Amino acid sequence: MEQLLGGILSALTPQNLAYAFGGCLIGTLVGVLPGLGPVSAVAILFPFTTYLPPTGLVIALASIYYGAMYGGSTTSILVNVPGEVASVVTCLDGYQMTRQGRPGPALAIAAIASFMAGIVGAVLITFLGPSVARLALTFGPAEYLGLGLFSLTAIAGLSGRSLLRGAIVAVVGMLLVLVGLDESSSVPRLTFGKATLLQGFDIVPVMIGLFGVAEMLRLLQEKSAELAVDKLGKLMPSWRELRVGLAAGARGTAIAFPLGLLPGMLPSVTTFLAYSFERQRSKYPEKFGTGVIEGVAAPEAANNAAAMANLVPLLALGVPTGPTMALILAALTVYGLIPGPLLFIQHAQFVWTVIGSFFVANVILLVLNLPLVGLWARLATIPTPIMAPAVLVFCLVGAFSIRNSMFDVWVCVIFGAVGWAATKAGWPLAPMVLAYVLGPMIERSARQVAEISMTLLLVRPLFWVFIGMSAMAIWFTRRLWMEVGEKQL
Amino acid sequence: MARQTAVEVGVLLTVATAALWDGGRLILLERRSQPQALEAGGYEILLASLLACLAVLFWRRERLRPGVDWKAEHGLRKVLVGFTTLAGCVAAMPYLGYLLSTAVLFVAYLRMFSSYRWLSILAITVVASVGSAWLWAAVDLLLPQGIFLPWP
Repeated sequence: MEQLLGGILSALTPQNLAYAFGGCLIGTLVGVLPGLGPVSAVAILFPFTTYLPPTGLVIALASIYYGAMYGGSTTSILVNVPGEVASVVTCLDGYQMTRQGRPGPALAIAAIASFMAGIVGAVLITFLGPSVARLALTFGPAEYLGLGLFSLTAIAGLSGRSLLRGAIVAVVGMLLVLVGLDESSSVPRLTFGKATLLQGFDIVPVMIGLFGVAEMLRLLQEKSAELAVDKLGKLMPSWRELRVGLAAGARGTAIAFPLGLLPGMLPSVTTFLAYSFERQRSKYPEKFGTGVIEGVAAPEAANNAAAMANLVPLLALGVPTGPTMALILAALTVYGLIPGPLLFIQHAQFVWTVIGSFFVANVILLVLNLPLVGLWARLATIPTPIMAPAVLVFCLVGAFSIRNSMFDVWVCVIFGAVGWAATKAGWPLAPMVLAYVLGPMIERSARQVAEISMTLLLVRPLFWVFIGMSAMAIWFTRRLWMEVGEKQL
Repeated sequence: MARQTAVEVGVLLTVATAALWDGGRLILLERRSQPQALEAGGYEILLASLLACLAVLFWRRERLRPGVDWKAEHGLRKVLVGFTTLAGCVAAMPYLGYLLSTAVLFVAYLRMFSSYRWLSILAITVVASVGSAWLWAAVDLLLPQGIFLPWP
């Protein structure tokens, strides 16, 4: 608790406060733009945060992420255009409340429920993070191999309806990361004699392409959004609505936080489950979809709680649970801050400052966004012909700024086309990104195990625990997608 | 077999074959000069074999499943035109520089996908390209200058 208080005080320094404020503002601004969700926002803005010091970089990226989540909710409620897949559920009741002339209470309860979930999530990280990190100190190559395999299995299963497609995409990601020089032997792999391929594919242009350029291409197919109301009216919900909304938010948090600890758990799954649970337990389930406050509060709280939970495996184990966490991992690695158990020991102040900044960012979001909601509403209706080239230029500049190389710009553009086509054809993208990040760890661990002895796997029980968890993840995802397929929104 | 599935399986098997070939090259040719090439190549072959097996399994499961009707896909032409324009601007960027290629991109997109008049298009283009170039110059971000303009 003392460390947490110290972290919060450190997060309240003018510099870190500025990073959090700037990240929340810019994240919300980008998240409000149609077609750009939290992942796209972090991918596009990541190159510009690399000029910040390590603590500022993580604070800014996390703030951008949370800000973009809130921005996505704003467009869901006001213009029925979800900023990301996880916000689709919020459209159902949020937009109906807007059509009834009550966008203010919908936006307010979304912000308050998200704030509550964020604070609860930050408290849980405080206790879970160090505990998981202490466990991870006992890990050797066998355990990391098992952890990597479990993560990939969970990601492959949870990221889409087809485990087979997820597995294929994950293997493709692991092959993509081999392009370039092998870190152990320095032999070139998959370069086919091309000198430009010796540098490999940097993850940042790949992600900007997959989640930024691809989204803009997709947006060209859609009409620009229009506001359903001219004025927002009264902002705050009634006391009854606040009580009911907070209770729904608490239940959404309880459902989503444990699920958010799992690698690959789609935010859309947690929001759907929270919404579905609220509807099932309600005395008036038929009213869901017509503008009930629980239908906004529960998925919003679930989204934020899962986002906070994502940070536990990242900081304590060095395992990203989604594309955004993969970027944060890449950012930390650049500074030599390797997420994992040693991070809590060797860079304790950094970790607690980052955790403290989550509390601060959640407060900033609540205070910042409600007064500016009118501005966000206007931004959400920027015409696509203006927004698309502007965002594409940002993507190109971001990709170029990584290594000052036109090769990275071409990587960004080509992966943009790949991302668009893959999404249209029903292929998930998250497994590729996470396999790209986890691939080196898995290869390193596998080669270390092979060097020592394969029988090492037989005498390390945690390895088999992870293999068992992989099998459970496969079973769980099959059950989950069967249930999702049966229920109708 | 649905055409889309055939294309997808073809791409996957091509990737797997390329990785198998490269892994074999490492094991057969490089390991004499670099002993660890055996491990590097072996891991590559492992992944390539796994991909090939998964691709075959995918073909067996989904060969009868109809794919996306790309011709009926709404806005496909816009996407193709938009992507081609973007690729063209990126190809021209080392020669035109950031400022001019950004301006070309804005003019092209506004002209093709909106009903704005030329005056509006030019105004938006100038503000966007010059404004963004000024912003990048202000934060000392290096960008391609091209052969026509010395800035940014």
